[in-house]
Amino acid sequence: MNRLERGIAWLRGRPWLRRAVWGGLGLLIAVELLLPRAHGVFWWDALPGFHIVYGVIASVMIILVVSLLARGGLIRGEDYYDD
Amino acid sequence: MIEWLHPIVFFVVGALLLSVLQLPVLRSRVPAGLRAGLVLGVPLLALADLFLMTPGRYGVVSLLVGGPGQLVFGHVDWLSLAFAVIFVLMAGLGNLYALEGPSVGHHAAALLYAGGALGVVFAGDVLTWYLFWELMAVSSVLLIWFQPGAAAGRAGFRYLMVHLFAGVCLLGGIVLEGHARGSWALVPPAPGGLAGNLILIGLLLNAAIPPLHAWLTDAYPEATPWGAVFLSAFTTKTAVYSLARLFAGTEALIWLGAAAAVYGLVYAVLQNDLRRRLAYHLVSHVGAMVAAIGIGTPLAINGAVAMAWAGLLANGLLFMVAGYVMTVTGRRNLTDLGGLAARMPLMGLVYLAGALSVSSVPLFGGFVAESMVVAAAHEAHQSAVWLILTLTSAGTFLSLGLQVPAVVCLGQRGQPDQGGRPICAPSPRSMRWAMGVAAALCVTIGLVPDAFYAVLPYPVEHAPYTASHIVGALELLAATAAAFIWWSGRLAIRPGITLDTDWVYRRLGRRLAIAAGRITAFRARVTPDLWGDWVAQRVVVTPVRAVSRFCLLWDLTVMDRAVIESGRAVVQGGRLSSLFEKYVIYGLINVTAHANHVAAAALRKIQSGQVQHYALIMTLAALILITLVLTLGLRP
Repeated sequence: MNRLERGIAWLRGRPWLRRAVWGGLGLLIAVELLLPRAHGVFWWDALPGFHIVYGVIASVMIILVVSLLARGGLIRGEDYYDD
Repeated sequence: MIEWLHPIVFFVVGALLLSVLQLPVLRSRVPAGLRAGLVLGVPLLALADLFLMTPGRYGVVSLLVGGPGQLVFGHVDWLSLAFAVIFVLMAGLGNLYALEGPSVGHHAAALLYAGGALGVVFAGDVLTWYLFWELMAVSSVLLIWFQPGAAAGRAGFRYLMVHLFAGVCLLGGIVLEGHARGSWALVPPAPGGLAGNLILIGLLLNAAIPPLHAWLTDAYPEATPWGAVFLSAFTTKTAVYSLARLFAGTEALIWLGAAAAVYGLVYAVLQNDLRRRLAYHLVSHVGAMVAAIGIGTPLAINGAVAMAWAGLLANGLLFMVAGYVMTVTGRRNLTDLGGLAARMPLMGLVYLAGALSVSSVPLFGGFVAESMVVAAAHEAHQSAVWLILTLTSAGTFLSLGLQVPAVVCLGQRGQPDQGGRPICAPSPRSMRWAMGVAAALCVTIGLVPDAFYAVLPYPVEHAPYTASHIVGALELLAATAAAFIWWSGRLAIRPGITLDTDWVYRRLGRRLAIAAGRITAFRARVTPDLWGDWVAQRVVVTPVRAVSRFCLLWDLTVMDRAVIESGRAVVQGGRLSSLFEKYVIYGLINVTAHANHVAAAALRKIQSGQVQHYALIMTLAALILITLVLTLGLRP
């Protein structure tokens, strides 16, 4: 169990945190629906909650690419360049 | 009254005074406070100097009487002033951070480095511009070499080599461009030409845009804890300034910068060494600035400058925290750190100020800066840039705002570190003060954006804190946090280093040599007898010879022309470059050292203690005086 997993376990051990994230997301969507829609330049400016969807897509993409690279042999031992 | 005083004067004089105070005669008699006052006073004086400055052209020196060359040391406009002020601020913060740690030589090198950055920013002609670039390269490498250990020495050497290459590119470009135009003015080069491209390559290398970025992520993590703070500030941002001066609106920069933003981010998440992770985030951050410069509208340039300000402070702060952690715990890898929040709660807060600022969280400096670039992308209908910048800030939050704290800060309350080593080193007070001030500045420019926007080069009509901006930013962050909590198992940090483009100059040559050796050995094993040799002759040697003959022909007719032409440029550039180095930089060092040496030798000989020698010297002096009186007609 590495340190990240331990940190995550600590976070998971606090259910209020998860609830806070969900609650925050719900609250943000509610606030956004109440706001007047700004006339945007891009097509997604009209979609409520686009930032949430995009945030999830972006994070998942980053996590996937990073874990693929890590497994694809990009990481070498610390002494790789030592003679 | 002096009309204009170059702020570099303070830095060079400060560095010289520091060195003089270090002379054996003075060292013990100088109170320690004087040295500290000098280190802190130089940036303060320079800051006062900058506040008295108004735009204009100052410090013009004619190079040759009647010739076209003019050296302009003081090209002051709002763009250069904006960069100069943040450079001086950062030099002050860095000096405060380094007040109690390093040697006097380190302080002097840092002052010269900051002075070089100011010289580049105020240069109005390509020659002074280039000269100060080289001063930066030569002084900054010292900040790496002051770190003990062979790794720092080697990394510094690679850093210097890469920067000398960049210097040759810049010089080749400016010589070609100056020759074609007949003036040395620092203005945008003709687009698309060889000269412009050479300058662009030199600047992209200094801005650490992939694939020319590996020097940064290779060398910065090896620098001294204090040196990395200065390094993170000046070189890349000076390149950003120069790109804004010379290449604003170049479309290629948009895509190079956007690619750099994503590339740096992805590599950052893979890093175990905290400072290397920050270095990759720096690459990503500078990429966003370069993309903004590529958009090139006034709003985008403003955004790039604002990002440079906020990024300098926030990245500087993060490097300070990393250096602090290194100094106090003696560790640099995330896998060796843990439970720090319980031990150093204030440092955790300060770290968060920097991390949230670079992830453009509302109320922090990074938000009010990046929202400007995002708005510029919006205005210019660059949807891809908008998506990439938004992805980058989500990813930065994922890495620095969530992953690093989860590893370093949480889950360890009250437990000893792995290996049970206690935190031993006392933490210098100046370091804590500097981090506190930097964190306060990060938050301040986020809280009062209007005061911050007043420093930007173009008039600003941008409101970062509209309800939809804030909700959008918070939604992005909350979604990232949710994704992190559910998916983080895949983000485990692995020990080790990542391969990057520096592999080309660190390992490729060796690999090719090994491969050639293997091929030879393979042939010897497969065809050991005479018949085998005959086959090898027919199958391998003859075709290879034919191909190489063709290559030779191609080389002589086509390539040579190109090589000769570019070689001519490089040789001219290199010659000037080496002249500059030989006579200006090394000359200065050699003359100082030699004068010292000669004076010491002479004084030693004079003080022989034998009366006849003193008599001889007095006689010689009298003779010289008499000769002077006789030949020059002087009256005693």
